[in-house]
Amino acid sequence: MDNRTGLEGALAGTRVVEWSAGRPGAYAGKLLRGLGAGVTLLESPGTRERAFNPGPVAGADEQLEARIRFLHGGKRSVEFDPADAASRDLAFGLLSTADILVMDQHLSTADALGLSPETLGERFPGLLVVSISLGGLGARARAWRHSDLVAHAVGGTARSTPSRVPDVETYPPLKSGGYQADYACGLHAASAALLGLQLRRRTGAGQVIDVSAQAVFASYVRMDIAYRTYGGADALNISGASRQSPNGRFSTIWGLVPCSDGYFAFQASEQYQWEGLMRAMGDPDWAKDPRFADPMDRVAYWDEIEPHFVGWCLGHTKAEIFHAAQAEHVPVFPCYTVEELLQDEQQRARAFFVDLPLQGGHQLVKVPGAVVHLEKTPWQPSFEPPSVGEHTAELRQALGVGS
Amino acid sequence: MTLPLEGIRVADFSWVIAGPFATQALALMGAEVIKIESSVHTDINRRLPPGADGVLGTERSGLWHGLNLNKKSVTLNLRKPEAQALAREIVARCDVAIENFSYGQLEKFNLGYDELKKVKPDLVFVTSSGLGRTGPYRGYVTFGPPLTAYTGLASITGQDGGTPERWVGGLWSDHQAALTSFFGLLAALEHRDRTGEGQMVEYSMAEAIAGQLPEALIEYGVTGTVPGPRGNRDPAMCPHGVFRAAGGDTWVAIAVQNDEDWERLKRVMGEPGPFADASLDTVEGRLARRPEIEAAVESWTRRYPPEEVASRLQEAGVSAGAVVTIEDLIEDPVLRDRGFFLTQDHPEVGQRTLAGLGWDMPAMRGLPVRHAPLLGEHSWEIFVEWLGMDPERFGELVASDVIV
Repeated sequence: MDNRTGLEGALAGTRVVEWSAGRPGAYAGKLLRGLGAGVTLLESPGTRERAFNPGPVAGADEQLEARIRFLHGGKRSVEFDPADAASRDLAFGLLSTADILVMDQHLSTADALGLSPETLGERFPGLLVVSISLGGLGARARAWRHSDLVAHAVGGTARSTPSRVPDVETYPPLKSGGYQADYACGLHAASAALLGLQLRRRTGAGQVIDVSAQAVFASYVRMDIAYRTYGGADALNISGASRQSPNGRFSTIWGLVPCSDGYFAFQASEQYQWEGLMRAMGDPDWAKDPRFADPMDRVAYWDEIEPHFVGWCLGHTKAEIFHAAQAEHVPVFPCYTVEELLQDEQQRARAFFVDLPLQGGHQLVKVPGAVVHLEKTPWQPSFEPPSVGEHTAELRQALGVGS
Repeated sequence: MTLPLEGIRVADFSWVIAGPFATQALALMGAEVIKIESSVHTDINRRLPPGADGVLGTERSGLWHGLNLNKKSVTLNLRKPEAQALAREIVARCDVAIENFSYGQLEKFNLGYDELKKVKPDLVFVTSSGLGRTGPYRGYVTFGPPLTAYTGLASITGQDGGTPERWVGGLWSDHQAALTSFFGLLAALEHRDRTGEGQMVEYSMAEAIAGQLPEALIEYGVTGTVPGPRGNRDPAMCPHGVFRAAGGDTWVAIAVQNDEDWERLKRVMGEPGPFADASLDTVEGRLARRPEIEAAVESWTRRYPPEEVASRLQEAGVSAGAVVTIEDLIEDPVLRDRGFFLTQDHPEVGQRTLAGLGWDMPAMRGLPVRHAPLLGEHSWEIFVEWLGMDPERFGELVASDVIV
């Protein structure tokens, strides 16, 4: 246990400063806090509202409160005005005793303030500075302004979401739902900070670590990249990075298929999985046609197979298909809404989703809990965020920095 | 140059994508990763396309190569007790063991955590499966893509007001799971280094995906309304979308994230026209007339190549970017400057470029890249030179299909 923070966990005693302007840095800080690190926010009034604004929607105040609780729970807060000398002194005092700095500030802004990752890395040689940005620290993209949407665009994932569309002009490339780029960058940054601790243990020195949202997503399209550099035909690429497809539909290998109460997803990459799927469907006569025996032939004859296949599915619920196919060891899953996911027996048994209290505990909403289960160093949850600047005076005194 | 994980040894029982991507990251960061595989039941990805030059083969898959750089490969038929004993010998000399079989498979080989920590008490053991080690569906099997449907991600991905999207780009589930393994493993390693205590790290792929959906869960929890697909729109920003640019199937993404961005956009477009209306200066006003604004923005973006639109907007301080193709990505100067791409020189397929990692640091300059191992390429090195097996015994075990 860390005597100062009272926290246990794998990172108990590790000190993290988070200078975040958005979700990526906030999530990285949350992950490190979940491992038991003491995380201190450098923030100014209004930062949270700008970063986590749900928009003019129903329950906007409650949604904003929940987002702040989810991302900033258990952290400490110091009010930070980079233009104020005393405020910078306090920030530098914190950094002089910190192990890790996570920052996702727009780099042009940080540069102009003299607080670039490189500058801070030079000033604090033992510090692990983890920078998160859209295009990284290089000169070409340094000024790029980050957003979740644009990360999908420049990183290559938008182009294959959706895949296989019938008319490329009427189906724009898509970002994935929610804020996946922001969270993926946060996860990368937290992991990179842990790598930095390993490196520092070996060298005794800090490091400036550059997490680029573009590179994060480019690393996710590695299969599509390999299709290009290996010269294989794209027709077999289940990602379908070429977008265009004459019929824009699923294949015999994988897909999202309509059924009586929604959709289910399946993947039958292996022959035994297709055979299992057919057994789950009651071994229909049409499936015994020798023309459909080979996976590649099934692709060719899909026009004939599809009416049989979908016709059966439309007569069954996603739950029926889910359990019947899994009994045959075929990867089939229902397509759930978030409401259905919360009701799923497996999720209830795992208790992955936990209650986040709102409005003084009068309302509870389910949110994701422990990211990983660590047998000996359990996750350190908290949904109690500090008020902005709550710990400014305390830390000034502790560090001996004047106001 | 010292790499972060030099001196760390990993027994890698993982396969397909999620586990191997995690262990490739370990290998690239300096760990010695020993992949324990078998010609009896090879990793499916060794057989999957893309095969180099369109030819499939055990040593030709670009997907497999792109997940297994810098590793060593030994072959063991883990159904045989002698092979299981050898696997335990390897683990006894490793810091980490990692697996992502369906639940219970490794236990069937007598290589579960309880067995492995007997031979290596301070072992960091990382295990994941589709739905986790507990719960009524723990035995259910999966690949990554169907889990985007199960976790609700597909239900909020798609055209605005449309149906769930069947594919989320970038083999999403597998990569998310890989990074979750990596994160948990490094946390446990940190604890071991501080205390000498090993431990098991466990999660499910489903949790790795659903863990990144807090806003959808909060929206449902607060309002009772089940969120669906919103396309590229955002309830707090406008305009926020992917717009057609000049040329066929070319697009540019633009995110006007606040009212200041709106002023910047107007200046770049240079044609206030309908945008001169002061009621549009707040996000509430813009959201109320979103279709009209989007149409006007697209009538402007269609005149220019996507790169030009993105460049002009980024110079003005608005988040924007061309929607790149994979070909664009491979040639992208920003990624090339940071050394993102890795080139292996493989004995069967020659020099091939593959994707790298999402982070970079000075310690990674001149990062050594060794080709993805041939099946069993390092069996002699590991069993004879490292474990000290008698060469004659090695031959016997090969002949008896233990090392195979």
